Amino acid sequence: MYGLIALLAVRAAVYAMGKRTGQTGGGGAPPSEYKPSVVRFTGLAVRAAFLVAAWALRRDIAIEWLTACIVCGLPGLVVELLLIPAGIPHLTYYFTRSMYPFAIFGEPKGRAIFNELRARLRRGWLLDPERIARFGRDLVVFNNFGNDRTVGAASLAARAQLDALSGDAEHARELFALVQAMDWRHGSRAARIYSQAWLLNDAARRGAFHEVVRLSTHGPHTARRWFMRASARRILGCQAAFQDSKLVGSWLFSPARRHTFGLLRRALGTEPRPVPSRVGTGMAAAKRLSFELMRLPKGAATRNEIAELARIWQAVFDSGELRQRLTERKQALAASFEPESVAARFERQIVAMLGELVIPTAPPRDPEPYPLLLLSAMDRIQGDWFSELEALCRGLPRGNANTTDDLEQHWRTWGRVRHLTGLLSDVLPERADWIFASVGVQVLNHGSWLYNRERAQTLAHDVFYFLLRITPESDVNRETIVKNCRLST
Amino acid sequence: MNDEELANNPFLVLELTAEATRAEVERAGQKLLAQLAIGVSSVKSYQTPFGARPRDESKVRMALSALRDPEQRVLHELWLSDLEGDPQVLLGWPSAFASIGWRGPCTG
Amino acid sequence: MERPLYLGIDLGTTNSAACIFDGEQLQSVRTATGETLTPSVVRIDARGNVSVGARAFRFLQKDSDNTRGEFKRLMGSKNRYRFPAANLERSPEELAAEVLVSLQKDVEAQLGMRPRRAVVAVPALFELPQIKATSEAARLAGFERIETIQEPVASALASGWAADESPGAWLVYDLGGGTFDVSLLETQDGLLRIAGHDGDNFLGGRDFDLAVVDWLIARIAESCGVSIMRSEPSHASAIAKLKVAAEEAKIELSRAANETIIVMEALRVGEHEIDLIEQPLTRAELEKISEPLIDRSVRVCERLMRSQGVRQLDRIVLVGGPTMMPALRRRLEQAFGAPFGSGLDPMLLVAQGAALFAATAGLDARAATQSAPPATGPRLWLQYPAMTPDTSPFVVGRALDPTDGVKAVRFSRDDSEWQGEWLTLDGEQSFAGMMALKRRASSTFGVEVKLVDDRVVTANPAKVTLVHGVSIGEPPLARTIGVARADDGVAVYFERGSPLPIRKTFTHRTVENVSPTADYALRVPIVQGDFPFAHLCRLVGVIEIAAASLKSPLPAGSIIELTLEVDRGGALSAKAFLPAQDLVFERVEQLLAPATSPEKMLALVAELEQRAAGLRGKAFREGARRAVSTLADFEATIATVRTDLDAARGGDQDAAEKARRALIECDGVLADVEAANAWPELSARVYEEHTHASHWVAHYGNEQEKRALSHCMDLVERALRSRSTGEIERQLRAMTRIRLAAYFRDPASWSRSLDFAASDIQRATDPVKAQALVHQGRKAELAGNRAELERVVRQLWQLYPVDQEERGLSFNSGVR
Repeated sequence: MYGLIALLAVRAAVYAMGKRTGQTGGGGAPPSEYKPSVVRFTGLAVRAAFLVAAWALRRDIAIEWLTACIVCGLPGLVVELLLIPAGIPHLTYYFTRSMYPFAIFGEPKGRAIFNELRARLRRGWLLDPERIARFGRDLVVFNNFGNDRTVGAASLAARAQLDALSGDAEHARELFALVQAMDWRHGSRAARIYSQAWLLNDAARRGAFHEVVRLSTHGPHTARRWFMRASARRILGCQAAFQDSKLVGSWLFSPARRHTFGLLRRALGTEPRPVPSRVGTGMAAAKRLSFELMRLPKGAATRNEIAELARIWQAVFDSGELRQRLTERKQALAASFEPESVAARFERQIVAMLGELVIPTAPPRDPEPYPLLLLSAMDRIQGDWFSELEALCRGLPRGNANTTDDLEQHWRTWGRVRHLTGLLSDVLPERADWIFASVGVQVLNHGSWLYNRERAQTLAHDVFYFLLRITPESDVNRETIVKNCRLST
Repeated sequence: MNDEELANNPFLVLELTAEATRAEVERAGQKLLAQLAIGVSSVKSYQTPFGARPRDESKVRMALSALRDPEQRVLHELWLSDLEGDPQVLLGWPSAFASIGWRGPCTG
Repeated sequence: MERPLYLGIDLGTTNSAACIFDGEQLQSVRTATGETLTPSVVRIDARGNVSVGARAFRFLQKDSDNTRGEFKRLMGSKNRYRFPAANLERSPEELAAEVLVSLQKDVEAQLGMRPRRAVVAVPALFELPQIKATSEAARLAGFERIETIQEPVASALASGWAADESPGAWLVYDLGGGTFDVSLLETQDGLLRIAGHDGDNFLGGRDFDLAVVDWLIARIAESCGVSIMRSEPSHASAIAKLKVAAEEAKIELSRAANETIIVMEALRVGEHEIDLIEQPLTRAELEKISEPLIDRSVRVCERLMRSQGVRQLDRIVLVGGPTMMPALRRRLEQAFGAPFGSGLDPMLLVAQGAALFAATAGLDARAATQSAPPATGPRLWLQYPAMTPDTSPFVVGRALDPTDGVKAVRFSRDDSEWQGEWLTLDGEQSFAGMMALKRRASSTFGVEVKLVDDRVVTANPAKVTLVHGVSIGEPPLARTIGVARADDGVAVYFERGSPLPIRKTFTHRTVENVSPTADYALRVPIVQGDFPFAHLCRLVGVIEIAAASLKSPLPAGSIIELTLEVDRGGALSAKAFLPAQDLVFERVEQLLAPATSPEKMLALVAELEQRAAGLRGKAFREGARRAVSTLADFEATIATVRTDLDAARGGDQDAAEKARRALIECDGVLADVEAANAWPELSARVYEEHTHASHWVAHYGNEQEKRALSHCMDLVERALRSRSTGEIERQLRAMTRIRLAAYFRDPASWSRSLDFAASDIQRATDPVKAQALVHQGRKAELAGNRAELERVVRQLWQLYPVDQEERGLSFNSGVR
């Protein structure tokens, strides 16, 4: 009884506060009813109120009411520890819906679907495509609302889970990567941790341990992340990760130890990789080393080794051995091609090979100056990624573009943009400054459009939050970005 | 130039060395095409330094055309080397999704 | 019958021929009157009777409305021919089918059986819709299966067959009635390889005739004062008569005479009627008229030789009726200094080559059911090359029925001079072994089989025949094929000159969101052409992915995997795969040649001439010799385009087609010149920008910007070396940003911007507001309020129009 009245009172207060805040938001802020920070604050306040009530009345009321208050105060714990491991369908959904009602908390439906899917996946029950399709339609609540305060990390994670279940791993990865990098104010820790865990394990399952290493540099700080990173580096034969004690220590702290024991054993059993042989000079030696590096698992070779290979090939090209061999063969075959052009083609193929070798590797801590061939290879990779990024950003709606209600597409495009920028900053960190230089302004305009016209506040905040991290201090637009970030929080 | 492209080197497809003459190339190609048309199963894959790869009619024809053109042949000869050793492939970790509590259908 | 029969057909623009190869000898197929050539002319009279060949040729002048020739040039286009007497319409494929039927009847009369399979020769630069039309014509004629072969390949094969075995580089010069093909062959030990080919789809004997006609028109205008114009539809019949007369005169002058007189009576030209024309024509005069056309063909040959790096030819093979002209032979000898192939009939070479190719492909003319009568014995499935230059080829086979108990197989040559070893069967019942062939002849082998009880039995088939001769490597692709991208670029799949068959898969990404409810189709256009811009290439097919066929909304940036494949005959097939939704699309809409009206083409000509004028002036100023000569060629081509457009307005469809092709080529030439200019311009711009940027950064930039600028310059150096324009433009943008960042730290820069904006007020979208802002800015400037000044200037900038990025047509491509 009291609870109901309290609920209604809180809702009225929030409504009033939100309206006022919306109107004083300044020029350009959308006429929103509920500011996200206000919503967060009231949510926390309500929870705290329940817990305080439980503490204050612990002697006076019956045990059932006490447990009810505690449950209302800490629903997240209940879900994580009880409901999801139990895996009973529908129970988690309705519990989450009732514990996170519409007025007080953001993204009620998304959170509920996220938890429900997690529960079902735990046991593997009721996962056939028709039932799952219903969730997909429900999540389409993206499109029907004017403001998108119902979208947050949990809705996106649920959408990504649905993609993964239907087999579309690529799009699932992009969305999970978005979730794990979200600002803590817009995404619950549960969703972010889950996304990170999924990404790491998906890469490990495919055997792409270089991806595990790359992904483990992002996202929330968890013990699982440290353990996966250490074991992946060890499996790849990285020289520095060879302390058994550290590996076992990180395992002890990570969750799901029963399942990850297999990975630990495998990591412990990996032999250190022998240093590649560098016997002799000349084309034969260069080719031998190239094949040796190509046959290693992806990411096992270090960048310094690849730089060494590039230096050897550069010496081969400079010495003219290639041209000489080509001229010999031309005479032997009585042919009429130009040795110069064939040599140039071969050089291009070598550069492409170096590029392929470099992409899965991690950048070194203290980079040495790279040889010219390797720089050309990195230029090529950078050129490909940048041209795709720029084409994508050119197509982002901004300014006076027409609005659609299709927020999902905006999120997906943004996921693709972040995927590319993530690749650039992970693989080529010394060139990552160019990201802002080439697409920063367009992304900023897109963010403003999202906030003002499309009223996708969470997405706009994500855009500004990302921009804040890559804008250099001295840029003229930095103040605008800071202001926008604060506005959309 | 990754290992997939290298595994398609015409000399490897036709199982010849870099010293093969024109006549040997044609003969080997014609024999392989005939065997593939008949359906001999031993011919359906070939060895490369990166593992076994499947072989079909269009691959053999493309290899033949590449070796008939001297410019392309020289380029393929440059890449060819006699190398020993098996490729290393990292196996995936099958119980990955179990460790995040995912017992449903896993993605491919 | 044991001897195999291979049929090859040459469906020429003016004449068609057929040839039979039985494994040893080539034999031409003769018509009822004993001729080896059948004119490609079809006539339909008032009762609907169809007559083909020499009988119809006689009516070409008299009844030109109902008699049609030279329909090969319009194969694959949407044109249909009208036959007013019988009130029918026929497409070019249907007319070609009539000619094929007549050839079939001749074969039947000569050999007693009606052929069901053959090889038909098509010009090398025939595009995909045209090749499809040829197959369609054969299907209409009742052929069960045909293969196409390119004409230069056929003539190369025939000349290789007849020649001795010296290695070298040969030029096959094929000047037909309507098209000109030239190919460069390399021969070695009987293995022929086409190194490259080139040609002109609209240069042929007919053009020589037209040149004579033009000369005649000029003479008639002089003598009778009547001007005949090709653009007038009412003069068409007169022009047709002139054409026939010109051709006859040309043939006569080529054969024997030194001078001939062209006589025409009662020529009707619109309202006038000329009673008699007697115009003498000497051989020297004819040579002078033909000289520019011959030179054009020689230039094409030289272009081909340059592109393949061949300097010296060992032999020239002439193919086609018009090559009998003595002037042409003289000129070729003078230009290349190589001997001509002897003992070859230029008119029949293509048909002979097609028959030989049928042999290498094992395409027997008889239908499958008509082959040798069933024999007894254990059945074997054998694979061997029917014709090969290898004297010891492999034979591979398999016993079809394991219960027959076959243990080993042996081949013995019929002339008892060679007997093979016993080849044991392996676990899969297959075997392989080498045979020995007689040089330059056909060898027949008996097949014997040893059973498990050691009995020796003849197998089924009892005999196989192999021919030792020549083989030819598959001809390369004629034009670059690729996929048009949304930014008007082309993603090249197969370069020109790639060997066939070929297949490649690339991944692309979509550029826009497609939801299943939208009434929209994602287009993947496939284009053919060597240009870097999609709108200049020719659209040959489109894969349309209808939005309704998608399972769920497809976001922008989704992966789409495209596989393009070209088979040995040059037919294109394509497949699009969407991995996200696991959908495959295979239907390619093949497009026919689109029609354009002469008026639109004239407008295009004017635009091109204007562009060329600008480029020419620039080239002269800079002394760029290659650009100047390219533009001079362009002038000549444009002049011919204008004459063709005149003829097109008079109703000449062929000329319209030719003009359209020529216009695309001209557009490409200009684009090349502009691109060649763009490179030095770009590098000049980059250096200039660097100078400006260094100046400002040195004064007002901070440490990070200085480092960034030097890094930029490093990247630019590398990009200049590797000539990647995209990278340079990116660095240019970055340097501009750095420069602007440093520039605007200078306090005076805002005042300068204000002055600049104030001076350019009339360009603003809202001049009144702009004026007010300028006043505000001035006040702030005087007051020394920099922040206010900055704010005003920023607002001013928003009032000035920004250059929109224009994108060229790219056939509405939806992929990147």
